[in-house]
Amino acid sequence: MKVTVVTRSGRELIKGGLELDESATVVDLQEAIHRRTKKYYPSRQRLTLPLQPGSKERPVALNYKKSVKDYCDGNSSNLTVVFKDLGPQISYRTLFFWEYLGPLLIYPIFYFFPVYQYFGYKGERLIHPVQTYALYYWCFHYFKRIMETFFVHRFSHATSPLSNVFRNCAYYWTFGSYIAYYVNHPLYTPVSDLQMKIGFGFGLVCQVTNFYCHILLRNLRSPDGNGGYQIPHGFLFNIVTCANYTTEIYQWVGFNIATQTVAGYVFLVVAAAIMTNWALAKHRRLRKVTCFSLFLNKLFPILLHTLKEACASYTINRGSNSGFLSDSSLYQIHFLGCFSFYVSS
Amino acid sequence: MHQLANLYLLAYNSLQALGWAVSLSRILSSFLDTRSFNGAYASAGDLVCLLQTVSFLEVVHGAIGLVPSGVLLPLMQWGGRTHFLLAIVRRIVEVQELPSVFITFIAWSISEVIRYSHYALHCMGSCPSCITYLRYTAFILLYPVGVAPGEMWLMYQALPFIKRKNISHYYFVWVVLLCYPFLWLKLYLHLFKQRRSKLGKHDGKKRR
Repeated sequence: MKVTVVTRSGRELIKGGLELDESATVVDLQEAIHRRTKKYYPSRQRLTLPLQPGSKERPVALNYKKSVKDYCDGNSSNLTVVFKDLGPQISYRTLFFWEYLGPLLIYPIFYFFPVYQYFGYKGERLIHPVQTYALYYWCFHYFKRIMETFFVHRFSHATSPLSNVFRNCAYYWTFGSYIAYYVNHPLYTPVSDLQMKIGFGFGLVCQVTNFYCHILLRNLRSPDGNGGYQIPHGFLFNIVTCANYTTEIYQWVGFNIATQTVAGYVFLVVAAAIMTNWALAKHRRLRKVTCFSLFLNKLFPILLHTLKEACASYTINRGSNSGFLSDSSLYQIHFLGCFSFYVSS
Repeated sequence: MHQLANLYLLAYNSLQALGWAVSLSRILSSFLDTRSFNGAYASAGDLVCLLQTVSFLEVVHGAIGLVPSGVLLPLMQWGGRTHFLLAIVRRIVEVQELPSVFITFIAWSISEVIRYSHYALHCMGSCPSCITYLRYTAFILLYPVGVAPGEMWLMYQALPFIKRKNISHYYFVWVVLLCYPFLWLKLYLHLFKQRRSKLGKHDGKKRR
């Protein structure tokens, strides 16, 4: 069969097209393209079916598991695919490793080395027990993340654009330095012993449950990454769609209860916002894929669900569609985070 | 359903107006009794904290579309005030007797009584033009007074105590102090714009 490969501007990428077997899979097509265009290795290629001009729909991306024949309409053994270069790609494992390595190495620098003299704080630094435990907690967290990256996670898309390395590393490394600077500061004032224990204790419990959630997610996918979208079930996934994000957020809440820095809380809010976005997208994807009715909530399942239903019926009667709770998913409200700040001595 | 929502809003706004009126009277009577500016927090502090915390409901109202205010602006305003009140004044006992607390509470109480009365009267039907006039005029004096010799002066005075409690919070309050004038100016000009549109046409329809 003949496959014509065009770019999005209509130019033929491969002169004369490609000749493939009838039984060829999309993977074979990708490799054929790579053979003809040396720099476009398979993970850089995004292949879609051509859209009707003026069509507002999203282009259909070719699934690498299917055979090319599946995408030919009816009779012809001719197919045109639209090619997009995704740019240099990096595997998720590599990406995660570098973004997590930063916090793991940077934080101890602020703890162990006399950095603060360069910020104008001369003299001996008194280290409080909570600062030491915070170091262990933080480093354990990022060590756990690196271990999970190599031994637990199964990635559906193997790669990510190279530019994400700079963006993600900037995010993690900057926040890591920001938090490390304040927690290990010479003028840092610790909270009560009890509060520290509650904070780290709760955080550790959440880290363990987070690990268990990752194991559950891993078991949804087969070793070669063939899983696609499945509804996670069991344990906390019966209550929330993305229990792994829930436990991750609460784990940071625990850290902040124990350490009480503005830096930590800012990171918590930003991280929670990012993860909430991901969770809503995943929730939407899962609802599209299945008719299963799920609801996502991270704090007060019954209370917020009822409130949301009541308000949804009110807004429908009013004829308006405002407010972010009008979607079928619920947002998280960080009462817990705010109150923990005010509770500190 | 619409009636129920209106009734709820009427109740909420009336209770807030009442609460702020009570705190205003407490502060004034304590001032008249002692002739000093130090008793504001002692007389009305807990009540003000309660009222301000409960006013988070206004953010929720905006979020669920009960009122057309949106979420972000009410959230920012609530956040700024609540941080000032709970994280600084309530937390740091040493600043509670300063006259800047008195100034802030007076400015807040008067503006909130006017604002909530205005909303409550709207829920009941229409608002007498004198209240509307007050709502969109009193801010001209109350707002700068509440922000500069009130909130900003208090935050500045609280800095040495904050530094001792939490070094990260200390730097944070510094950043807040630097940003306050710009944020405040934006809101102040926005209120002037609203004033022109609400008070400009006396016979036009008044919308909340």
